Amino acid sequence: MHKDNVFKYLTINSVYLWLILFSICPLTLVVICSFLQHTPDQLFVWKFTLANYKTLLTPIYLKVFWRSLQLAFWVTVLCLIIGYPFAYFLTQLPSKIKGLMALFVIIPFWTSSLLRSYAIITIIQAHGLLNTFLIKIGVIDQPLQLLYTNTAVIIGLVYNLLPFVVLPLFSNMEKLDRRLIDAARDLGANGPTTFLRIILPLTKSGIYSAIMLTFLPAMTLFYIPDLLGGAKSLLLGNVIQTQFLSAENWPLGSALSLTLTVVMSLLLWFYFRSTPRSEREAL
Amino acid sequence: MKRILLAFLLIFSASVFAKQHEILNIYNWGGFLPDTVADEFTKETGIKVRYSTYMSDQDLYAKLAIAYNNSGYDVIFPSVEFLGRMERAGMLEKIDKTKIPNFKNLDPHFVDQAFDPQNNYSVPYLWGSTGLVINRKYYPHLKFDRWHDLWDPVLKDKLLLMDDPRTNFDIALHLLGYSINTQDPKQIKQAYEKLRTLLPNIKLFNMIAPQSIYTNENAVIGVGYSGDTYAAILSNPGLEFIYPNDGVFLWMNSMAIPKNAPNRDNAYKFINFILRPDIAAQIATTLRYSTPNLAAKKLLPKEQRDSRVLYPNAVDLKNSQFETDIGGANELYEQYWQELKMTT
Amino acid sequence: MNDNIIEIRHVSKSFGGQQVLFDISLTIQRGEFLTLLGPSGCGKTTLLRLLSGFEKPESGEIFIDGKNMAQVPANQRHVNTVFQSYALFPHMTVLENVAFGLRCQKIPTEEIIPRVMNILATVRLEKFADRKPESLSGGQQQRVAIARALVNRPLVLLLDEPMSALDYRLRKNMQIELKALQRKLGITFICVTHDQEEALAMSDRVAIMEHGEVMQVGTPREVYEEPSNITVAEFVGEANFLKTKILEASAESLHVEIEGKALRLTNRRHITQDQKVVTLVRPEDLKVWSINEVTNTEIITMYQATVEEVVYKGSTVDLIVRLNSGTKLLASEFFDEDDENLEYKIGETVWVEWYPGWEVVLPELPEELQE
Repeated sequence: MHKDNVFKYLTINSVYLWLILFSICPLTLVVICSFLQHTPDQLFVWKFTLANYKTLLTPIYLKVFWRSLQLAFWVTVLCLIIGYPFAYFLTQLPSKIKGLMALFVIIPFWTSSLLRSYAIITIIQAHGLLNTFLIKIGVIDQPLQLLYTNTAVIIGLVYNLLPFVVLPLFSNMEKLDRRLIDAARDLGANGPTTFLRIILPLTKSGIYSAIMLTFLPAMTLFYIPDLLGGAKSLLLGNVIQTQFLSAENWPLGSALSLTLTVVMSLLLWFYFRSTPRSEREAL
Repeated sequence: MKRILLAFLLIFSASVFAKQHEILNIYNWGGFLPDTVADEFTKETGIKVRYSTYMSDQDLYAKLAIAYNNSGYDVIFPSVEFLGRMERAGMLEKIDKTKIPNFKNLDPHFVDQAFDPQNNYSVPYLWGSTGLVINRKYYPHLKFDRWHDLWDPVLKDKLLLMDDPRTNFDIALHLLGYSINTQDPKQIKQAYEKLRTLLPNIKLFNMIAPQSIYTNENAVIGVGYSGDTYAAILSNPGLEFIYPNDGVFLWMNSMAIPKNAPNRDNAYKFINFILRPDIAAQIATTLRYSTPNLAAKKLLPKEQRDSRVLYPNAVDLKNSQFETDIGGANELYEQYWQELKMTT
Repeated sequence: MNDNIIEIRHVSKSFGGQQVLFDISLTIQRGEFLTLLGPSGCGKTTLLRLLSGFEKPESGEIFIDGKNMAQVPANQRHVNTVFQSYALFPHMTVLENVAFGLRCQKIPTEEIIPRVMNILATVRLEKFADRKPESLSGGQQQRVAIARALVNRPLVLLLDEPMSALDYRLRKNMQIELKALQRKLGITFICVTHDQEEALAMSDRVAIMEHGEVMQVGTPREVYEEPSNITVAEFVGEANFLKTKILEASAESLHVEIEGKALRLTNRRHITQDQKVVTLVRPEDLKVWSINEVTNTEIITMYQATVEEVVYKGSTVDLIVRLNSGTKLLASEFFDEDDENLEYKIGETVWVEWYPGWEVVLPELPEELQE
């Protein structure tokens, strides 16, 4: 065997090893666990059951699923509404400062997301920066009750997930041929038409990747509803977390995780089916 | 998966290093032992302290369970209501009190309680009570001295409750006239229904930082633990801690030795060290929780010793009771608790 | 209403302090095919973008069809562009690409489809209506781009280096097709190119630009045969420049010394006595004779030279010859079946002359503009 081949053999196999160790093995464990029984004193018992999945079909869990989907939907929409023009603005900057600005989008994310969520608390809390400022300039005379509301959860999630929208869109828009916009204008298109018929369709794959990167985390970043929402409106992430840690019901937790994984895989599959290969590269 | 790996790592590291130094592996709640105390212990005994923390009794239980009682820890700090469960799961070492001469310093009120009748498995560490908290700046005249007052419709979307099933079920069960340690599914279900009627008044559940939430007035009324609230009052004098006149719930954390603790002798040395009056006083002063150590209480700063929040009088405690083990019903509590939070 | 579809009056433009257009004035007639020819960086594309409305002039005015365009944005001008490498919308089919302009005008669909199919037929692409641009060849893409612009029936069609993405052979074909199309439709075409051959082949008139100025506007023949200055002469076609000294200049005639030989020429360009000049002779205007073909009396107007290089080109033979004065010349000799004397050897001595009157005497460029 040639030296090259040995190298190739090793790299390919280390990729397989990695996949098996850190993706397939844990996933298999979760799949198996989700079909096991649970007793109060043991995390799981080696007996097959479908009970965990039946539990998921009870109204209370369906409601959480529905609520998580709704919240994730709005968070994703808001992220796109804010992130899309933001990314576009970034691409319009002179190339000298463009990279720097993109870096500024990332820098806050070198700090732990938990820490930044606490920072949001200090901003929106009863006597926090925002309220103090608004009272000072006379917009309000009573502090806004933002903290521990759904609004706070949405603020926290949007803030945390915004870079995952801005960055793929930014790289996608960077590749957008400026002459196509000129061409559209030349053919008589006004601003909105150019945006809707040219820019939007051509950045579609960036939007898809942005959705991929925000939708699932929006349902599973459990500490944000805990910290900012007052731990009362439980999302899927919270339920999974408590099933594993507090309720010690690993089988149910596994079933929940798996269902979420399947739903997301279906979304991915749908994405891959609806997008031709050439437009997929941004992901 | 992560946990199992972690447990393996712990076992591995514990066995590797144990041979080199005298060592003590402590597994405690976060922020529940002043660093100075651990340092002093090492200085006096030469035993190196390795300290890890957890966030809930469930974490502790899970970690011991997945390590099949070979977690490598020497001293743990379970809440007393978890003792029964852990003991049944064979997680706890029986304690030889002859190796803890300072045990005598403990207040008799806190030993030989229902959760561990002869203190065979646990040594009291710190205790506290669950009561009502109100910021009088916002509610100068509100009548707020019974658990039932939490249901007052004027408190819509206002209450801070503890993010913990037992603390909340205690309130509902007690109001329904049942034991707070009931294992009767019907009673637990009724308590759940009762708590559901409280949902409109709840602003948030929190257990990590109720002290700062009350201090910063992000919530101004609700339920609190005595220690946290004592600290909060120091920075926000508008706050008040009230022992509800229809019943007070006490909680206590204990020290215990897990089965197969690798450094059992060091564990005894440590527990005895903690029970020394000066050390116990140092802990209580720093952490601002109540100490069950009578000898230590005398050494506390006056304002702590005289605080009714930390050390309630006999009248305050006339209806008081400890949470104890609820056996297999724990599952049911947890399930209703999840449903409760999912419904909000 | 006049015959000028476009009037450019004293237009200047600069980018970031660098002036790219200097006081350009140019009129373009209705139905004409005009090419802006010049090397890259000469400002021709900027001028095109001023017409399409993507850039605004700093000073001066542009009139299209008699209307001042100062306040008219790109999307409201009756001008369409065929972009360099076409800028076809990759997410749309050929049909959708071509229909885009009509959609923007809110023309009803039932009217759009026949118009689109009609123009696609004109460019012979009706079979490709449902294809995506990426599946078409370069030439087909170009025709889509042309169709996309023409379907809007613009007053003026602007073409920005339309051939640059095509290979040589296709380029030749498209030049002819484009010219034919323009003649058929009668629409004014303004084309930007740096390829002089292309410019000469397609245009009714050529505007030669250099350093942000229009040097000369004229028919291909005018700019080739009567270049207004050396720059134009150099840029359009191959050129030989001969060192020239004016001995005497009158209104009608010039007495000059060209490469050491005194000659008498007609003064067509009002050259004055004190001007510095050079003489331009195109390679195909040079005649090369073997020594034995020439009689002594003929030698008076001929230059002796040595053959340095022979390049066989099929229909012509290109000779590089060096005059005794040292100047190198390029001469293109057309084959003549009966003439066996076209076989030249390197190092051979020959006689060189040009047809009298085919030379052009041009003023030398001022020092600062010389390369």
